[in-house]
Amino acid sequence: MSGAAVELIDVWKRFGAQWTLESVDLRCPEGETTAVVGESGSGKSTLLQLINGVYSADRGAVTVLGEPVPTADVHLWRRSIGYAIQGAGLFPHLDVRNNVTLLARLTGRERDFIEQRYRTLTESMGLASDLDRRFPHELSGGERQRVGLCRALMLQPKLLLLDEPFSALDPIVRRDLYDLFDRLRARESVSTVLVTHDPREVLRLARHVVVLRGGRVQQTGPLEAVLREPANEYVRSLWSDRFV
Amino acid sequence: MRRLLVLASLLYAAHATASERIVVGSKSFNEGYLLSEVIAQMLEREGFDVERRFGLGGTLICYDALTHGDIDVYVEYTGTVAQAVLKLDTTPTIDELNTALAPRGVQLLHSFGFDNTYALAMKEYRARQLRIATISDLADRHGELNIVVSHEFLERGDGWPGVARAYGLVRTPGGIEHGLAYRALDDGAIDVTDIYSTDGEVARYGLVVLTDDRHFFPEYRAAPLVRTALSQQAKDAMDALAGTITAGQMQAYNARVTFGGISYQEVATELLADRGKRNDRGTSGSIWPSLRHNTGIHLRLTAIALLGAVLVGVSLGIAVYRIRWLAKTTVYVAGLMQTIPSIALLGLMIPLLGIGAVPAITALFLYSLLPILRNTVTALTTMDPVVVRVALAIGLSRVEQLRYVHLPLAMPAIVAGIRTAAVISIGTATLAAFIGAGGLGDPIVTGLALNDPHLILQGAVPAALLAILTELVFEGVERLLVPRHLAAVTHDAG
Repeated sequence: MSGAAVELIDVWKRFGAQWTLESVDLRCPEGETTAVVGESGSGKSTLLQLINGVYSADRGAVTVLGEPVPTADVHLWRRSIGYAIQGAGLFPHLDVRNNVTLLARLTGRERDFIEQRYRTLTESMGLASDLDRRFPHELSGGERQRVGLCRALMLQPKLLLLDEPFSALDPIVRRDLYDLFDRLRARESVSTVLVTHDPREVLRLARHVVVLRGGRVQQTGPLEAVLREPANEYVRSLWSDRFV
Repeated sequence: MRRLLVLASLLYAAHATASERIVVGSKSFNEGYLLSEVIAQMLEREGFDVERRFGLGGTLICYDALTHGDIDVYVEYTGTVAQAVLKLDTTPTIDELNTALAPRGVQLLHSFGFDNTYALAMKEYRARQLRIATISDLADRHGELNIVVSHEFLERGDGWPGVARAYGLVRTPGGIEHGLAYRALDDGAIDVTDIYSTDGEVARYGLVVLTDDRHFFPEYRAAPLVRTALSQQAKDAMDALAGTITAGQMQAYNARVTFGGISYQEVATELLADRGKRNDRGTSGSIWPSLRHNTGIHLRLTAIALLGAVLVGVSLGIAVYRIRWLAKTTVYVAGLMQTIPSIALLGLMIPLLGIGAVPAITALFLYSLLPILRNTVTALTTMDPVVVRVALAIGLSRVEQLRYVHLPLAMPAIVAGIRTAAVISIGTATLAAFIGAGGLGDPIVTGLALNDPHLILQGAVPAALLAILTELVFEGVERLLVPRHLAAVTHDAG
């Protein structure tokens, strides 16, 4: 059995009196894409932010590749974890190249590395080089999201966290992006946690799945197993509804 | 320690010779300017180094400035010292006043001679017609006369109520704006009104001042009020005109300033020449040197205040914006500061910082702070939350988030705040002249006191031009600092 990219053991998290996550146990296999699927309010975004140390758990343990999330200098921890979000969140005052390479330059990576890595990523994501000097407001929604994914992968992260990056895109753009991303991810063989509310996206991109509802894990396991033997009615309804 | 004291007093003694620097202040009304200028010119004749800080508002500001050592002398009136400073009901002699003033480190020198008190006046021909020369005469015939006095005189204890009691006047007169009373007298609409006995209007309108034969009105004898610590030479120089100016002469000099279109500096020179004290220091006819001087001071006041406000406002904004309640409180307090009327804020500075550039810059700084602080905080708290989250999640340190993401995004709003602060400061700085900081407000304050529109324009026009110029400069700065795509993104933060 290969190691876990991410492991949560009996994790509890609350904001005020409200428990957002209750006794969460899960394990994302290394080198694969794990989808965390749930409706809004299920706690799936909070889950991501426990992994990159934006929040800390009230109880339980969160580890990435066997290492617990540190409490000091957390920003250094985050640098080894790629992050992309719905709407891309590109820095509006920086052009495409600077958006992608900002952190690499700040951490003192060599120019050659930066240039080569930037070129490889943008080409893989189908971004033409004449976009290098464009600013975010001059890009289409799909282009912005591709830039966002390039930024997330720039420093060759050991883990990639995706917070619904494909949600706001129209279906055709999304389909193209699935293909581009999946190919790139496979080549980089980076462990990925994808948060989504779209069961179809899970089918398209993930090998492993975590179903979250109301802060509790409903079922977790390989995708085929979950589809074959849903643990409860909620899990069954997630996929059956859409394929009737 | 003792040796140090000896050395200090030696230095002080050496300093207190003819090259002693003497700061002359003045109240902001025409006679105040004129007599202070007379004192300044007399001191210059004797070789003293003189600095003028004229137009310092009323008694309160001047007296405070004197006791704080911000000025060394200004012209005060005995009645005012007795009532406003010492809170006495009576007006003692100058010697008695000096006994009371001694613990405060100030003293009155000898009076110039005339008494500028409240008085009742009427047209000369009318007085002759009715054979009225004294207030007692007036009392005998006041039933036939239309007596109208200024609103303030009507209310003050040492005004109408007191006169009426002292002379047995039974009719209550009407009230009028002081400025209109002279015109009304001239038109024959009214017969008698209250005046200050050395007003230039007395001569101008052919008025006669009724003798206060029962000595009701307190004496307001003008005399230099000085810091006791001044050297005897300086005091002697200022005493040289003791008892040489009559009320009638003072009226004529005041009239030359108010109606003759002659600057108070020139009239002061005349007044000295009339008393055999020629002053060779010619007054310059060109307005350019003073304009350049005033503009320079104005820019310096504004620039220092603005620079301070940028440093403090932006840093404070950065320090508090992550903590919502603190950011709110800070902006609220800065907003409160803005609601203090500027003239009151300047006044409040005097007990703390005295007069001159320091309190003026402090007040301007406090005014400039709000727009800069508010825009900084607003811009930093209204950033796109997705961008903020990404900056955090990709692993930028706190400082890096600020330096490479938050501040660049907030820059357009911050620059807009600085621009607002700059324009406000340039306008408000004209009021700094009231507390002796100089600048383009100087000619405005003087012009207002002397009713001289030319002087007012000499300050107002360049101040307005400066404000417009500032707008233009900042437009350029914004174009340089704020790329177009950002101006669109964060425009609403301002």
